[in-house]
Amino acid sequence: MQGINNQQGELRALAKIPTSCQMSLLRYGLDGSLLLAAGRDGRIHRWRLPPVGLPLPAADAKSPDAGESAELPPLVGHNGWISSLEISADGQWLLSADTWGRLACWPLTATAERPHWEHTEAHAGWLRALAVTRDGSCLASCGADGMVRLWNPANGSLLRQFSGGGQDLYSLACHPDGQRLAVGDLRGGIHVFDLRDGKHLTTWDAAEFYKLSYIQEVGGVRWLAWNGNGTVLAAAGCIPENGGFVQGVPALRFFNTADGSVLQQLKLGDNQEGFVHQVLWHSEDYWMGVCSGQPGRGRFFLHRTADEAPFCLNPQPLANCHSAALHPLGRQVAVLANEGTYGQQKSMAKDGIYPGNTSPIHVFELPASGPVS
Amino acid sequence: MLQSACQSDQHQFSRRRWLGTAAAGAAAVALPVFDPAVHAAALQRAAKQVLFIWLDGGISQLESWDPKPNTEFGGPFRAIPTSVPGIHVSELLPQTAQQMQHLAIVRSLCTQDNAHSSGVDRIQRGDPKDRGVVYPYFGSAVTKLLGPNASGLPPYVWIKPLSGGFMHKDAGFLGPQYGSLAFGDGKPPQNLLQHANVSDQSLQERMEIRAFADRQYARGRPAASTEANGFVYSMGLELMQRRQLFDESTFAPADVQRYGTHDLGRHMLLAKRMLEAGVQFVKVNSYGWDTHGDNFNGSWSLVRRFDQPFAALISDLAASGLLDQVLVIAMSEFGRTPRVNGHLGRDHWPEAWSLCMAGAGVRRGIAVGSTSDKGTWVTSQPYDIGHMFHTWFSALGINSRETAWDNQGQPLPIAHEDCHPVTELLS
Repeated sequence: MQGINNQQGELRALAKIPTSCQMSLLRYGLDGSLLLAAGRDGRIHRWRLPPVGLPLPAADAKSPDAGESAELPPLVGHNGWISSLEISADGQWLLSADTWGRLACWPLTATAERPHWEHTEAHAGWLRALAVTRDGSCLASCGADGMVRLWNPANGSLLRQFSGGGQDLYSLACHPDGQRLAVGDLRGGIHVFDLRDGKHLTTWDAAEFYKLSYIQEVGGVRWLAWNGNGTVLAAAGCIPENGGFVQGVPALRFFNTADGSVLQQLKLGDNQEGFVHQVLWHSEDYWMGVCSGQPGRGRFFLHRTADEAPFCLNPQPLANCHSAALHPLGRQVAVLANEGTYGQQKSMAKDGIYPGNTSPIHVFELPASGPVS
Repeated sequence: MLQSACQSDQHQFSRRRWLGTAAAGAAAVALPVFDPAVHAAALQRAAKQVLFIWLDGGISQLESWDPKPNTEFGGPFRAIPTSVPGIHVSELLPQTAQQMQHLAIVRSLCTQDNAHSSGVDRIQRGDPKDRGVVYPYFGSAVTKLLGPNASGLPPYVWIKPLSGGFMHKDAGFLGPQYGSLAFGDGKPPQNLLQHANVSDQSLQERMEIRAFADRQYARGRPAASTEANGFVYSMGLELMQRRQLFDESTFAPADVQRYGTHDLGRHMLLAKRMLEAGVQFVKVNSYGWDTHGDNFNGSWSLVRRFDQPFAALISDLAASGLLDQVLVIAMSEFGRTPRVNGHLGRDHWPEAWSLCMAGAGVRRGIAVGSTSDKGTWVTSQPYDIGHMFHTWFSALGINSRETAWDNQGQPLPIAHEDCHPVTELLS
């Protein structure tokens, strides 16, 4: 593992919000008053929060609790797992997708109960990712069916569809200029399209994020994100060692948008860990992301592209982080981890129930002044 | 010359083996004195074959034969209808779903071991009571009990990734000649082809000398070990004559596409050819099913790559009529936990899991047993691997209750005596 410099920024734990099941993704509403989580129970879970963020815990608190968060009734109607959540550019709508191919648009209010519009078969099966252009004119979706579809977020009408360049598409990112879309696939291809006409522009290579292990295709570009001005694209995944267990090196690969050259490849663990599941851009000129690993491992990290190593990691490993969401004011971050039982024990609870794992949400205060070079 | 050309070593061996095995089989099967009806039944049994597909590491029952969509542990996938109304399987088995009319699913397996290291042996040996002996794997047991057939080919072959060779440990107390001949990556044994500088005449003479040496060596030694030595040579000679079996260029391109160009597809297509050629027991291994991490993307890849050749093979065997004599079994050493761990994997779960079978002696188009709504526990009669061994032997025409092994005078049941055949699985 590359060297870690954790001296220049400290995360302060503000709250730990318990959840009733495992979650895959977190999002804040644009005014910061709602925190949303994509449930692996097919529901969109919601918490009402103080719009300015959670306060510091009491000085005598032994460990963070749920603080001033209040859980709201979940949004129901999806199937399988909720696989993606996005917020419309104007902050009025929540866009959601599931593993059975459903795409829905909900009013982003605490009282919402029914979708504004939905498509039950937006994709054939697992709809893996959504992305919204900065101007709010276009919602992109991709799925395991290999298709990219562009939708009008206002009414759900299909604008355009095209093959995404790979058989199994995992990730999407809209360029800040609103004219380009990057699509990441299972085999490490990053295909860039012109959003205006669906024309394929170029393909960048992250083939290290893929391995054929016996008959299992392992890996994939699990997340894509552009920096604020669109000059750098970050691709997240794993350099896989094997199938089955799926162990490998969690990794990020940064591309120069101008020519597709690789600016850096960052490794965030040893070869016994898992994936970088998500990476986000912070307006203070750094990246933040999460990675998973074997039981007990997992990280939240902050990283500046020019540095050799992250400048901040959560001081204690969080077990298997799967998502992070940045509060709109930029000072707090919510991180999904995992909690529960590993292994094959029967692990019966006292009442005879076989318990599932959950995904507690850890809310941190970010370093006050951002990274120091 | 020690023997005439028409008494080639392999022919002589086959005859010797037939006689020897038939005698051993008679001891094992405890047949009464010659009876035409019993003899006919024995011949019918000998025509039976087995295809044993081993998904090493543990296929998730929830992502295959026993889906629980939209439940706490159900995972991301849908269940789809099959060709048999009322039976659903995971959406990762779309082609197999269309063959359900030929299949029997068991959803109520509850076995004893959640470790790979011991579980593989326990399952493939039928987990008998511990009597201080090593029981044979199912393949070794079947070839011993059925006796030789007319193909002249090795009775028990194993098509697997990685390396091959002769795997004597499968045989347990039956003796090494009942081991499996493994074809690594579906390739024939190394140096199978007759060397260009060795003429047919020279080869024949070499084999006769070797046979003579074998007989000299065998004097005063246990037959099991000396026969195994000769057996391996004879298999090699037979395979030299049948080496076209391994020639992948002779597979129809359409079949290659239907079965898939990945390892399991190629190996299943070779397995079909081996069955058509008369091999009694064909085991096909697929590795990498121990999905402790990223189980759902893993299953998306693995299960669909199983689905394609499995469905093609069942369809082909049914179309040719061979399914009437071939018992097909697809299984692992256990299933996977309903609970999803933090690495999005499922761990080992012998408490409630599934397998699929088809073919000779098996009732078709059924799903036997049930699990709880969340897939955590068996809610019907639980079946251990001993029940499956009884059932499979019965499907092959072997009375698993009355037949016993003769282990150097020690009678041993061929399947766990506390278990019994699952009659609803038998046709």
